[in-house]
Amino acid sequence: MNRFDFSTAPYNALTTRQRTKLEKATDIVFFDDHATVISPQDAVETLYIIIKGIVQEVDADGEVLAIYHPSDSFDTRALFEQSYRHSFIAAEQSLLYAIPKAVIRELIEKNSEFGAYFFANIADKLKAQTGNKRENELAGLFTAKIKDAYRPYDELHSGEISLIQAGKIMQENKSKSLLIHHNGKIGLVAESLFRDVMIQSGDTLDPHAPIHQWACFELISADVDDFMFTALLKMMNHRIQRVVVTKNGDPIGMLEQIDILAFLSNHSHLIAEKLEVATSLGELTRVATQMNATIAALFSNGMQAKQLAQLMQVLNARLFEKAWRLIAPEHIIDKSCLIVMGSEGRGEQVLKTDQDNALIFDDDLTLEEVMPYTQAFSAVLDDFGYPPCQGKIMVNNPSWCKPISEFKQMVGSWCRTASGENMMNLAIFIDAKPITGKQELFYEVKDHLQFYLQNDVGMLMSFARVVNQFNEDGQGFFAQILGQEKRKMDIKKMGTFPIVHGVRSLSLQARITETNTFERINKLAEMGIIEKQLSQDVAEALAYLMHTRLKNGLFSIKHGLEVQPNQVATENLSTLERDLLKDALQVVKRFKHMVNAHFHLSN
Amino acid sequence: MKFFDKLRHSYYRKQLKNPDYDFLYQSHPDELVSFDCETTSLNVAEAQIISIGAVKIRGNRILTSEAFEILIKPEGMMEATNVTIHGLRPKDLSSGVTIEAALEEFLHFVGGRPLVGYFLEYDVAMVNKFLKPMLGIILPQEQIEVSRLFHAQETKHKYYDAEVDLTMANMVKTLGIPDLPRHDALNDAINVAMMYLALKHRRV
Repeated sequence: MNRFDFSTAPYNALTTRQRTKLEKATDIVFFDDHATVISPQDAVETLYIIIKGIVQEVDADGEVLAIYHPSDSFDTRALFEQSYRHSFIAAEQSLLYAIPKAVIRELIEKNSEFGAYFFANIADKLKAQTGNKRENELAGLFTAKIKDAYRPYDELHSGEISLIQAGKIMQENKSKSLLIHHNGKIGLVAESLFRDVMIQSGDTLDPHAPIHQWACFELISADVDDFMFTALLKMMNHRIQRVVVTKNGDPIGMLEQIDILAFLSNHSHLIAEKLEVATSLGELTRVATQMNATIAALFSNGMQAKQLAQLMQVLNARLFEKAWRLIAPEHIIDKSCLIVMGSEGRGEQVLKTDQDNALIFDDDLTLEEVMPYTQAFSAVLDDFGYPPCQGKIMVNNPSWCKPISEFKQMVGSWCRTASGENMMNLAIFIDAKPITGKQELFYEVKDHLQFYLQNDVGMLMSFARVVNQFNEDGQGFFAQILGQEKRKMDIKKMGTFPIVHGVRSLSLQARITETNTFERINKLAEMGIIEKQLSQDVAEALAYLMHTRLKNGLFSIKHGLEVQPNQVATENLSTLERDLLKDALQVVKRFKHMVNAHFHLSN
Repeated sequence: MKFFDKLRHSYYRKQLKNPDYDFLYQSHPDELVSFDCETTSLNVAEAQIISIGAVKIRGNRILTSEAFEILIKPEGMMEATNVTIHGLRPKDLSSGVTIEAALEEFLHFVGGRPLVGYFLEYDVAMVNKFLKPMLGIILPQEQIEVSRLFHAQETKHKYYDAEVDLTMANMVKTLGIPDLPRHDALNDAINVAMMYLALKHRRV
């Protein structure tokens, strides 16, 4: 009869014989309130697993690093070291299994699955989590690579072939497109080209003229090793039907939308289609309200939060653009630039949260002219399900709806006075992305900002210092877990914000133009500003936090609760999820230390 | 130990003819043994012991890694009704040892350590029933009854309504200890050991 709980990982990986061995070697130990289970420098002899109670891990400064709950084990890291670094204290009376290290080591050697759990570093552990999800993916679309579906070209035709020759080749190959080369450039001949040629020059058409004069040479391409998903995003972004597939920069084939659709029988594309054909705000509202269901479906099919966020960024941009065009008259659209900021600008928002947007317009327009439309726009976004921003960072607020000269002044004033609010405004604006209208306006303001930021070390320090703004909350988190009945933690304050803002600060200093945090991390790692291992850990940690946040948000939607994706009830997490969250938060801590050291902030 | 108990023990010690068992009177400070028997009936006169489970408690540690568990081949047939309680079929016990061999091993495991149990009196009476004809003695160890400790704590600040639910289920629940599958002699012994440690550190 089992005394030991073998139902959780990694113990469920043990064979019956191994279970018996483990159970036979295990003692049960009782610790009173505040009793020390392990002191630093103790020799590592035992792995503890909590049966009942709570144990906290405390570092030399007395700071609580982690909290362990029933069926959590500690300290797995120490199993491979000679002594402990931290102390472990019973936060309340606790009963623990005590397993001799020698037995665990032996089982690790004999059972690779069991061993893998103990050896896994954070990145691997996090990957293992998402890896499991892949099993229940429907069509494997989000793991499918372009190379799984593209059509290779056996030859690149000369641009000198005639219109008729080109048509014949396509007919023979039963293909909808053809690649040609002309003057050292690669061009595309698509079926639609024949239609367009007919319409434009039907009367004077010479079917024997060389094809290169009509071919399209501005090609959108994707690497053969990219995810199919990337190609889909490009097609949606550029409103095209196909991308050229390249290998080492050379074109080797074509991937058509229809090829992807063969894989893709899900709704993300349908949503884009519906957005495309919608002609009224009512229709747009219907599409917008369907988005959550689509997200839930894609998420449950294994699409990762990080990818979902990118997809939503594209869809949202289209939705906003379409809505703005339906609301505002053309002369205002042409003389203004609508931008989204914050997480929407970074492409890291999945579920609709706040509206974070602004409008920059030409100086010859007035606020009075623009305001009726921006107010209508904010109201429509509310209808779409984007609640108004609490900080009123939205186009119906005159502070965020300005002629360009005033906008520049505002940005400049943020830099001159490094108040907390100004720094937050700056942070939000740095992540901005133009949606529609006269984009030069946006880039002019951005250039203006760069001018102000040049070599202003003090300003950068003030900006970076914001990374520590939730430090007190940070220490309170573990206290919260211990003390409160309702164990909820704010993962935005604890995890997402420090990562996003730290990366933002480093990127600002390094003049990195990307707005997406993952892309920024990559750039920073390439430039050697963040050490490679840390950059990977930070990216994984952020992906996991986004995953947790999305899961939490979808849970609220499903159960009709108020959506507060950042408030995670830790008692609802599985042991593994809690483990991963703890690991992720440890990474956040390491990263914060790095940012503090980098900017010489004395915390 | 009460005066009468002392008297009784020294009387029985004199009855012990086999000096090999003198270890039963050696003390082990800081160690106890939690034990439990599974029997064929609750009537001491007619019941047979079919298994004994015991575990040492050293300080705050329950030495489950050195647990004692033994199955006993019953004399005569077991009553079918009890099979449903302890889950041991006559077939399971066919590999068991005689009660005399089992008690010999058990006594060596316990030594002079105090015994901890839940309604221990019954288990001790069962053991004594077989021990007395064997060695001429009864169990000499100090006996600690967890339900009595529990009762004392529960009524410490109560001057009325001294009714206390002494069922194992209630004690397990009140003390907040995990509940191992019961009616398995060793699991019950471990349950009692956990209860004992919880009671010892309980602030009332």
